[in-house]
Amino acid sequence: MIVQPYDVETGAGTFNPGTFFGSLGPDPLNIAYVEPSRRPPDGRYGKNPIRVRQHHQYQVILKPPPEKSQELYLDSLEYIGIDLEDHDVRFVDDNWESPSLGARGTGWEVWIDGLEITQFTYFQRVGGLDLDPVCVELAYGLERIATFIQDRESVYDLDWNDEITYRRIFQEKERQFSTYNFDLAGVEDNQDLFDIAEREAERCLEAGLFYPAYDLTLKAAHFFNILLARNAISVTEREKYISRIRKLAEAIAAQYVESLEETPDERRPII
Amino acid sequence: MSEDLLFELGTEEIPPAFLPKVASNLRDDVRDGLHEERLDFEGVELFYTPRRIAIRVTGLQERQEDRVEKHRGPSEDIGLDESGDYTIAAKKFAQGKGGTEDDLYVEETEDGTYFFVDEKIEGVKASELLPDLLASVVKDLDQPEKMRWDDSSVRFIRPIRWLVCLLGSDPVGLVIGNVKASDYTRGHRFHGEERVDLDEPKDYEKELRKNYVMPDPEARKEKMEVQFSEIAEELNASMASDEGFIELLSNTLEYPSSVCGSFPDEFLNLPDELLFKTLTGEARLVPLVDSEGAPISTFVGFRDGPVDETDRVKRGYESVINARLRDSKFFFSHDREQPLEGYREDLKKVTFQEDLGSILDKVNRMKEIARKLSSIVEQFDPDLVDRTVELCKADLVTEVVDEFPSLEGTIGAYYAELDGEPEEVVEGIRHHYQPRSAGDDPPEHPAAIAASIADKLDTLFGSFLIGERPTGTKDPYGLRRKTDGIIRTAIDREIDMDLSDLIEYSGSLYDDMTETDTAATHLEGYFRERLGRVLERLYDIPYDVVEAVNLGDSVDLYGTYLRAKTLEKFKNRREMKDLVDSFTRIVNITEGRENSDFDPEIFELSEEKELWDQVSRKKDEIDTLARNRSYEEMVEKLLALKDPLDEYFDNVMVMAEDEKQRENRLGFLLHLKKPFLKLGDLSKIVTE
Repeated sequence: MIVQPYDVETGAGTFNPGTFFGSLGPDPLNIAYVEPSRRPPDGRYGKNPIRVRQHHQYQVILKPPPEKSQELYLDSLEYIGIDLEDHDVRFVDDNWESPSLGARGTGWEVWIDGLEITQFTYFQRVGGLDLDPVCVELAYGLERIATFIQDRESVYDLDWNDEITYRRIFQEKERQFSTYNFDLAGVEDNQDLFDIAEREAERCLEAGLFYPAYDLTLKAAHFFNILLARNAISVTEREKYISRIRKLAEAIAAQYVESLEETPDERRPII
Repeated sequence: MSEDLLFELGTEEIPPAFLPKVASNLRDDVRDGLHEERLDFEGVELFYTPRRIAIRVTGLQERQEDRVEKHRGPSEDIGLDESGDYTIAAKKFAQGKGGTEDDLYVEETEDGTYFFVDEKIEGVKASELLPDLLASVVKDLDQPEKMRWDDSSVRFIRPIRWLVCLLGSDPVGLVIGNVKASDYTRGHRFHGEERVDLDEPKDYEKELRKNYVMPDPEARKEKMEVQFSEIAEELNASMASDEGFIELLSNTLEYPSSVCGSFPDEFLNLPDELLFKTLTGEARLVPLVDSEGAPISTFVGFRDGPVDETDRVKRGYESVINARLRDSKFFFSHDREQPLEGYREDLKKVTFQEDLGSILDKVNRMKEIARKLSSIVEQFDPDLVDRTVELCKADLVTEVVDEFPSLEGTIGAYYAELDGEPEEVVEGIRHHYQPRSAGDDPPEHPAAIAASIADKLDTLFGSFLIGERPTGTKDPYGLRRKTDGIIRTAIDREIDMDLSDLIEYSGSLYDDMTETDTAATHLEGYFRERLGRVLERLYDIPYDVVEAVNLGDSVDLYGTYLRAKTLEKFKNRREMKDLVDSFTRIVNITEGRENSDFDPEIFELSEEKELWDQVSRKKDEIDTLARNRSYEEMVEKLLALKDPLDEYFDNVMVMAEDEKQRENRLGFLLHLKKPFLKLGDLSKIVTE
């Protein structure tokens, strides 16, 4: 099943409901989408050749994981023209964790000649719940893969198509958003926005509306990311913010799973 | 008859840091399992790569030995009826053990006479025992982390994808979770065959080698070292990373081939540590230095697979490391737009802890603590300590530390050096985080020592103040490590001070806080508790000596250690035993007493007078020795009291009938206790 990118800011493809809700239910599911992933702290004012505030992930969830998950993934690289025998492809251990989603998994970064191009994870837990069945998540870093295939040193030199470069689409946006995120964003205002989004999410949860609660949680997470970029949060405060987001995510996951149990098969939501 | 056994567990990539341990655990458990099943064997060989762990058991007994197990049955009077025939109970017992009544025999035991039968147990074939044995070893294997990957109940460090189990040339029918064992393995993921048939266990390495897998970890590591040396020799260079690095790398691949590449010389201007960190960190490349120890622009990497004929991997590595180095250079030059001093202000924006202010607030408190420390301890130059503390956290807001957190301190020191700060300040910044862990040394430079103590003590006091105290199982802020760090620093660097003064002073730095006294009391208690543990565990001080010296009146870290070492040294001397006995008598006889008044004029007996004479003459000397921490001489002085003490207890009746005498003697003995206590509570010492 192919779905669309989500239209609320997300820090990674994992935050798209296709993964959050998709990984939780009991039904088999193979889902994929491209997700523009916005991480304010990663911005570099459009000046760094490989680091950007917004990059694109091609996100795949396979539930349950096929026995040949790794081989399927590697075949997909061959399919887009990478000759694996000529390169050095490695699965480098990197257990993934999203404390704010109450999620973690076991897996690797996939490297090609030292360049990380994908995060490959067997999800074990999402929203504070142990998954059954577990699923595998492939998060392809599209900018990285494109620079590799097109042999460019900078993402801004990538061809988006035959006429237009990545630079013309994204560089000025990177500059402006970096300036906002690092230098301009109001710290108190973003703290307030976080508080408001959290309150609204709680209001939804009280009414059993876990989907809107989830959107609001994503918003809160985004304001948190801006505060991080603004360097306005210490290590200990960071923990507190994260646990506030996690609390919401866990409540949402619990309500979702409970609702699945009560819904007849033909109407049961899949994501 | 014996055969070789090959058991291979094919997995998805196991993390290199855990691989050797998981593999050797598996080997040990298989070995133990075979012993338990009474299957004899000659040897066990272990192989591993990220994608497989294999065990070859040579000369494995094909079948268990037959054996006889002796069972006790009914007692004689229950086994025989009145006419001397076997009862039903006796017959059933014999049948139950595979025999008949003819096999029954009687034997005397401690509980009386009983019937016995010898059961003959036929040995089971190894091929029948192995499936359960191996499956349960895998399922129960001790591992640092476990995961699920399918609907079986099996959990392992990474998914198990294939199994090979061969006994001689026969496959063993083994199933673990959803995976069935076969008699073929898999070659290298990209360069070998997907199916590699194995006729016999001994073919294992040979067949895999043809398929670009070197299963022997030692052989892999050796190949890498040889390849590395060839390159290094040609360049007259050597490795700029520690030796464990190649071993770690050897566990990330199945078939190493060196790739030698280079980066532009401009990056050689980066601080060495930053350059090395960029290479060895995520890129996992080995940096090189020339014969003078200066970095060169060549690196060695290891690809997983045959030699990179097309140079594509080399170009890939070069382009990735180029981008990373460019990044590092960008961070570095951005950082250098202002001196280190300039970053101090930004520390105000970084919260240390919500209730304890910013990092700048912390630094300001550290400064006060360090000043106080400099005023107590001679080794510290107040100006240099002041400057060190002022600058030691400034690098936390630099971009290099943001990117490579482990360079905190290191990069600050480098920047301070560029800014022309005094060497002592530079080294102070560099080492003030030490000791970072139990295996790390305390700092050596005085400024680093002072900053380290001030830093850790401030964190500890603040945490205790807001109620974050370590408990037996929970210590999220690493407070125990910090406490032990201060203790070890004080002992190893001979920092002679009473820490309780500094703890109380830390409390005075919070003007808007109540409860600072309570926090100080708790923290002092915690230091004493840890001091006892640290002395025992890290300095090997016997438990009883620790008990004797770790008294609850001060937090005198270095002094307590010295007293402990002295007592440990004297503990097993003959005269020490007598001294301990005498002291213990004093303690016991004066228990509960507080009044140590006495009048020497009332002494009746010569032994009393003699002891008093000795004690009063030595008192000042003993006090001075204690103050100067000349504990060994102090012990000698105390030991000299042994004879007069013995004479005293042999001849003087302390609990005399005469109340006045009794009171006077008890007061004297209590008075006598004091000089001893300057060394420790000797009654806790267990002498041989």
